[in-house]
Amino acid sequence: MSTETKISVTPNTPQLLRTSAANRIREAGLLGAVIVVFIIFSLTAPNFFTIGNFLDVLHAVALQGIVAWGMTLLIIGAEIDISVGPVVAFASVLLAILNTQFGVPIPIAVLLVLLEGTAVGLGAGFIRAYFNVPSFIVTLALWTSIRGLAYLMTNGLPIPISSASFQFWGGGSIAGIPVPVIIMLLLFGVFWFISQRTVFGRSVFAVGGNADAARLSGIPVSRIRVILFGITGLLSTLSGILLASWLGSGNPGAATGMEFDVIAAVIVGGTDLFGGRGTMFGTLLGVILIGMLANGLILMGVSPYVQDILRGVIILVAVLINTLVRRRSIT
Amino acid sequence: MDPLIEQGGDGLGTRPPAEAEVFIRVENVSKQYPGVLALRQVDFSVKAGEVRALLGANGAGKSTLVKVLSGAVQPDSGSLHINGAQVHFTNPTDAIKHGVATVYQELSIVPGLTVAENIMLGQWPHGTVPGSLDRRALFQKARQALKEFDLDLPLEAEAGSLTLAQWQLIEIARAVVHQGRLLILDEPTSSLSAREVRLLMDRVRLLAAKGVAIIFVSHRMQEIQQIAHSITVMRDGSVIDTVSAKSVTTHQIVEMMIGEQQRVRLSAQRTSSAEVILSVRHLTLSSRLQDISFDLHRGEILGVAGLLGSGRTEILRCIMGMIRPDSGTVAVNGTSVHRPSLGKMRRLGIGMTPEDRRGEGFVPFLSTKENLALAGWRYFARGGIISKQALQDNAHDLIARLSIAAASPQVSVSTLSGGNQQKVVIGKWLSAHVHILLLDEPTRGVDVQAKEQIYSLIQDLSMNGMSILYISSEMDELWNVCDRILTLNMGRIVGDFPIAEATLSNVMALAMGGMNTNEY
Repeated sequence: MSTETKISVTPNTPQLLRTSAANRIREAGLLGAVIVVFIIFSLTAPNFFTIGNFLDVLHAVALQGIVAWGMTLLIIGAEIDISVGPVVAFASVLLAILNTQFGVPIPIAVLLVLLEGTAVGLGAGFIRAYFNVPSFIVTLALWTSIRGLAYLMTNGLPIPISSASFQFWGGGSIAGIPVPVIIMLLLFGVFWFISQRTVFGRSVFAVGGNADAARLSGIPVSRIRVILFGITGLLSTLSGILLASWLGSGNPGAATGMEFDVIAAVIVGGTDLFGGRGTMFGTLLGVILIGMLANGLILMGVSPYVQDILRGVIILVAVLINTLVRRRSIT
Repeated sequence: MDPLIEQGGDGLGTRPPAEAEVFIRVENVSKQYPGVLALRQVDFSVKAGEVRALLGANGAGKSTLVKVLSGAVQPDSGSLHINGAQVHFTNPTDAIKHGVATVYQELSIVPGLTVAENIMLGQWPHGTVPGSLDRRALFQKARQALKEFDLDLPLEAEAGSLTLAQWQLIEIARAVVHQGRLLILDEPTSSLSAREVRLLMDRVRLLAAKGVAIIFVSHRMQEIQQIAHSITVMRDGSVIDTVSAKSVTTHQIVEMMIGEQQRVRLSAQRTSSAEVILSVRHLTLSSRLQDISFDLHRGEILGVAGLLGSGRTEILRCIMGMIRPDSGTVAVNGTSVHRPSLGKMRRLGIGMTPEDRRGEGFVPFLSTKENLALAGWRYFARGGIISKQALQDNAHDLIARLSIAAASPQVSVSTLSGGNQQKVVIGKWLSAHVHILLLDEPTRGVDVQAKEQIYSLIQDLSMNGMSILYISSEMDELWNVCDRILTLNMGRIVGDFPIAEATLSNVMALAMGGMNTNEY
């Protein structure tokens, strides 16, 4: 081979550098936003800058964070699951009923509830993948019916769970760190690994980015979609169990609107709502940013209604910035 | 053992591999689509290491043949053989398993994955932890595939950040990974710059030298003469001939493509006005258009001939302000238009029918009468409130004038045939009282009878003073309908003939380029 014919394609690296720089800018920008908000609250909000309060922030977002890892994968796979809140509530209710009315010991009840949640998720995914019903519609149906079922089973009243040892999982702590926070961080590691280092995780990116190419390359597109919904079902249910432990009851009205908190964190974290792109680290930052804002504003005595407005503004601004950074990097 | 390594190659593939084995062969293959026989008892074969160019006008059957070879279409009769053994492809995956890799014009790249993951798509190596991905092996194999044909791509980069040419190289690398032994390239160079084309050509030559059979669908004679050993020309679903690429001229190829018919222009020649109505000067658009200048006269039908990727659509889009050119001016009625935009051009009386009729031409779920009013609502409304009567009258008038076969003005456009949909899109601009029409492939996907109707409609319109810029990839159609033909080649105007001085084969040969085109 003569050196003359060796034409390197790398002269295009300026463009390439710009794009990977854009990815870095996006995450660095988000990290910067987290730091700026942190500094502002540290200077202005009373009692914000304490270790106890940091843990409170993480504790408050732990249940959302747990679901957000699965939601990140799901959205990267170009799907959506809006049934999170009702699935969480139903899990807490089912656990309480199994334990108090049927006398099922807590560990077995937990296992059964986790199985139920995974099965329901897989079922939703099956309908999505094999009957080609849009995931928004499938999970909308689940969203309304499973909340209804939770109310029906409890007559709308919370069912107390009287087990002191069970309370450890939602309310206890190890070395001063709340258990849900530890679970959230452990699962973050697991899902970071899945998204970056497993065949399944990378296949999710392929399915979300170009489903036809994935199918033609022999990737089992439908099976991956089913598993994705199984994962969010499992994580939502786990979140519901921790909630029941924390509150000491199964509550059919719990976790109202949680699906949108979770989706908001994922989107603020830079995951593309149309699929194919996103990172776990971005979602972690999104979860922390939204949690910190709520916490800081409460400490400053700002009305919860104003918090809602501010959260909306932040979601919009974050998505606008992501879109602009991406557009600049493509052209 | 990788067949690419196994067979090796000493030369650079410039010599046809005379004693090589036939890799793929179709025998007596026919394929009937509703209303058209796409393949008529076709015999076709390619040897290992051979680069075969496949040419033919639209509808000649080359894309059907490619689809049969790549498993996307099953023939009605005939047989398919690989290395002498008969095979059946029921889907594209079957073909891939037999070593047939196809790079389509719509590339199958996952933008969010790295280049290495894209190259290895569907063949990711597993690590020791169950379900985990062995990234080291992944990158090593991808690097190996690139090394196979001496190519340098940034393996760690997100594929989305690369250029179209690099995407094509990823697809070719994927074929190497899949141990492809036949690579089908469908008009691979139509959207590439000259430098990128050279790069692609080099890789194709290298792959051929390693024993991979290549089918190269293209009409760019320069490229064909550079890399192909042999040329197969198709016409009307049949293989006309397979000839050596070295000895044949563009004109001979063109003769085979158009055959004996179509020598006589069907419609009478006309003399059009000398009044310039639309004037384009020095239009330049990065690598797509170079110094395009021409005038459109009142009542003239000006054809634009050119291959896919020659810049024909870009000219239209620059005129309408949908793409901003690097430089150049557009003047309407002698007045230069500052920063053209769709709204501005419509107010100046210019309408455009897009190539992608369904995607950009009409709103499928709206009724025919509403679609017919889409470009000129203000003619049917007062103070923003639509007059149902005016809408209805307009629809009745146009349905009669354009003989649109719609049961009533109420039916949705998506229920009409392609030809009638096209008439609605043209009618939309007539409602807006334009006097210049830019038509981009107006007869694409339209049956023969409707084509004739559209031709006569266009000629009627021009008789009544409409000036028309007519883009088509079907050269014989331009030759029959237009008063003058501009020929484009790689973004340049290479010919501008009144129809009286043009011949169909000259226009085609100019558009296809290559050597021996300036001999007439």
